Amino acid sequence: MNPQFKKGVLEMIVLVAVSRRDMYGYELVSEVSRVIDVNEGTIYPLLKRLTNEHYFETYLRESSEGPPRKYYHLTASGVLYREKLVAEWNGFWKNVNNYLEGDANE
Amino acid sequence: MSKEEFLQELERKLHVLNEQERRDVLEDYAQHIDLKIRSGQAEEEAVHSLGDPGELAAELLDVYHINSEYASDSHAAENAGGGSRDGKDGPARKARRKIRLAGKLREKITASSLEDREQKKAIRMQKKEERKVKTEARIQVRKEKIRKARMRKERKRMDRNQREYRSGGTIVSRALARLGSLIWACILFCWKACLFAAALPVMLLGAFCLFMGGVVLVLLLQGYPLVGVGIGTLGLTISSFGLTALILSWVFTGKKNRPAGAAGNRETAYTAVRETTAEARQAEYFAAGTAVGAAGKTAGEKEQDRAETSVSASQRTEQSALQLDDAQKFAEKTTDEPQN
Repeated sequence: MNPQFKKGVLEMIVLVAVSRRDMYGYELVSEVSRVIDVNEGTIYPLLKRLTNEHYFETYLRESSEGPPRKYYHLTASGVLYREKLVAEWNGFWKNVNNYLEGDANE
Repeated sequence: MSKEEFLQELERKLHVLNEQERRDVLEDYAQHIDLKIRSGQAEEEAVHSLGDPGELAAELLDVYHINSEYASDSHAAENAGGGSRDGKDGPARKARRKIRLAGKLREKITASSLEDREQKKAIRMQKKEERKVKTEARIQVRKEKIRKARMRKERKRMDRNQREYRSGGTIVSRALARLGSLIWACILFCWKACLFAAALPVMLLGAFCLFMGGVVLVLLLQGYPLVGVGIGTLGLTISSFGLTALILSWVFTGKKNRPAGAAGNRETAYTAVRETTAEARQAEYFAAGTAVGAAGKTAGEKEQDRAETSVSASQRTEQSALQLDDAQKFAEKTTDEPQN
């Protein structure tokens, strides 16, 4: 699959995943890789960016094994951003699909 | 590539970031690899699935708006600088090195200023949030105070009613009570006057001792053997002033300790409270609830027990409302910024 396709969608999927429940890095990576085949390492820079832009906030929580885990939580601005992205995605997807189907009919 | 190698490589590529950020990033990756290994993957495989550390570093630096080529260039320059130091230094090479050094310096400065700006922005945002929460808490406290004052007034009124009811409203008993309190005040005043009168001579003694101390000191300096007397005077001075202070503190803070009115009223107050329990308790529960709410909000800010399911849900909505505001401001700011 075209890596440029993934890049934009990845952000939306991460936002939606975290909005369902708070997750830590590894959990999130495994969740996302179920949906799209993505280079696991690239999710962390994305998380960092979304945190820097205040769409996520992080908190540490003890785990039964190993060091405490950093959980991500969607902020109010994150919710707005997620909604914007999802709306854009729906519009985009529809337009492209319409065009492709129109092409097939001709 | 092993985990250590991977982390070292990444750390080397991220050297423009400050210590804390770098450690944060490296910890994320280290934990990821550990969890992968625990889930049954080989170390090699786990590291491989993360991809090339160079690419990751470039993406991470991009998050901080740092040009990754810039960062790696400065690193290359460092290496090159080390290499040329070993060789012979011709004049041309020296000049080149100088230029390189200057370039390196400039790069470092720009990198650090960028980082600074990022950090400052983050700090500013955090401060704003903190201020908001604080004002919220202050408002809560003020509301609570008002409510308590109202309750106190109510209780007092009830108390008075109760007393009148109990004493049957007879004028004689009320007058007697008033007389009693008047006598008590008189006794208290006399006691205080006595105390003050006792404090005066002690104070005078202290002043005298101070004066004597000065005289003794002068004589001592002139060579008289008065060390023992001097120390004695000093001790007397200190102790007399101490005693004065103690007595005066009794005289002037007596009012607060005086439980006369409160003790007399306590019983009736209790009954009054008992009779208004339903109302008072409700009010108190409400006050406690708001206090807990305020505390919860600050705790939420501390980011510890946030994920504790249902309790935090309501907190979150409150917080979300707070952040909504913030988010809009932030959005405005970010849209302004690129134009700058």
